Amino acid sequence: MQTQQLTLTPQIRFQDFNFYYGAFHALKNIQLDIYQGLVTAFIGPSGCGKSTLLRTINRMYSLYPGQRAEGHLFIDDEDALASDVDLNDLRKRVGMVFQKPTPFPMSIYDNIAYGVRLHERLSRGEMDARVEWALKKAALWDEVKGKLKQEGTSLSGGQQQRLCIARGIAVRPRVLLLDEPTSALDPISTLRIEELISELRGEFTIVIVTHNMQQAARVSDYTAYMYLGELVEYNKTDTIFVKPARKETEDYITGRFG
Amino acid sequence: MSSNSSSLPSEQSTRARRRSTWSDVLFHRMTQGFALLTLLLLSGIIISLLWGALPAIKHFGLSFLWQAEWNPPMNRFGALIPVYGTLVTSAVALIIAVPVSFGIAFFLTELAPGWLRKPLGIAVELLAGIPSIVYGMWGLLVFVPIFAKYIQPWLSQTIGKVPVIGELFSEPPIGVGILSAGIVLAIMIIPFIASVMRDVFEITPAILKESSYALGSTRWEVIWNVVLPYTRVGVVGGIMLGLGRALGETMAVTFLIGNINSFQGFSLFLPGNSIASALANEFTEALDEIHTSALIELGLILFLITFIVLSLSKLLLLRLAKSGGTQT
Repeated sequence: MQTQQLTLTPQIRFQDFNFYYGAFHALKNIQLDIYQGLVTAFIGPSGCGKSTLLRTINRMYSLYPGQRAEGHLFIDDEDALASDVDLNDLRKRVGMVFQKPTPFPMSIYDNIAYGVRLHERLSRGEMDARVEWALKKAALWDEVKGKLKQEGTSLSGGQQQRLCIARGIAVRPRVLLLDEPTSALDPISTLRIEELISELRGEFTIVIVTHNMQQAARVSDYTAYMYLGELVEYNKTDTIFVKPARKETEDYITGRFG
Repeated sequence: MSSNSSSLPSEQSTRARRRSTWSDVLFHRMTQGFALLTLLLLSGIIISLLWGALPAIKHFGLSFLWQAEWNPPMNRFGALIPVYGTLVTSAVALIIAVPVSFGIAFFLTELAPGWLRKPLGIAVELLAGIPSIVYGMWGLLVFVPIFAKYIQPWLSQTIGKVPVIGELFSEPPIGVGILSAGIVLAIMIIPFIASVMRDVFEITPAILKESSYALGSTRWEVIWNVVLPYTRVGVVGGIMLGLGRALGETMAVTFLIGNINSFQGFSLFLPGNSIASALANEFTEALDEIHTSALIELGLILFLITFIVLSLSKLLLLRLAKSGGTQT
């Protein structure tokens, strides 16, 4: 609906991108432009490389020896694979939320303030405002405003995941990566997260990996279908789900495969 | 297969179930017995310590705790010197061992390349397997001469010049003494603390660490702000394991502490005595009943100190849990 109003600006660009786990060639020659302010979904069967692709955007793989990327990855026209990239700065611009809620062992307030403190020096009042802003953005404020000092782990699973989204938003990233964010949640919590994604759309560039095709259809503007490390098809979500160009994509989304 | 074809299947299953409940009950009773045995042993040890210490407790009363005199020929005994030695050597050991162990664990879990982790980890664990008498001999024959010749003079020249703290490093360098004993104790407890810390750091979920990295944390920030709070129970447990060992360590300390039963000052260079080494040195030589009894009372005090330390650590954990727990 809003897609027409936004001009399509590629913010994340994969060019001739390859990825290896040691000797295993996990991503093959990926060409992909992810547009600013839109929601892009990666779908495909288990092991197709969709999470791997997502985890290259914030260079999470750099933590692990033996994992390496070749080719080009540009984020905001900067070469994100260059050896002199400041990873801490890159990850400030590219936030991430994981399969399972991962609240830190500290209070709700500190969970949100944690990332902010790493990058900015804020006064007490500014920090309070930032925490409130992030929690409101993540649609969690009304539920936790009276108990900000409680341990983050005391919240329910769905609340914890929204806490993690708030934590990611609090550092004001430009991109938000969601790696199967609802796979550990019940249907109602899942719905709330999906609503949240729609609300955050436009303000952040969102990339979501999901094994749930309905979810991809509901929340995303663009969808990439991957299979065995290759990007099979990438297009507007409507097109992918209504009129895919490739037979493999159609087989997958109609449930004949995968 | 079954020769007993006449019995019905239902009957068989009932019998099988009956046998399994019976063995279950037996297993339950056995394990219960083992668990109760610890209680029995604990109370037995306490009672026999109390019984043995009774003459000394009656004779010296509470003043045993703060009397500095330990004079077997005169039959005058006070626990202050050995208690002081035990506490100070253990404190020195902890002050050195905790940061070093943390560094080892940090390096092994976060920084070391994969091929180095295994051998280094095994080396740390092997260090824990060295008998304490070997540490004692090594300490006396190798460490003490080097320590007295190079390190002690250097310490006097540097930290020794600082007011107040300098007092601790002020006396002539003779090698054996409270500081040497504390340092060798530190070396002895490092493998325990380090391997416990490494183990608990390793069980921290990768996804939790990644969540912190994903916000732009450095490795240090991940360990300090996320891994350490997440593993605080295990870390405190590891430190307590080390402290418990330091408090009770006998042989190595006996070799290194100097075994002098008089208080000459607060300098860590001075020789002293610890509870465990006083017991080891004097028990076989104690002729009078009151001497033996005083030594047993020392043992009782060591037991109490360990008990208090353990309780304090539990209390600390409770407070940590509460400070991060449910409060509105």
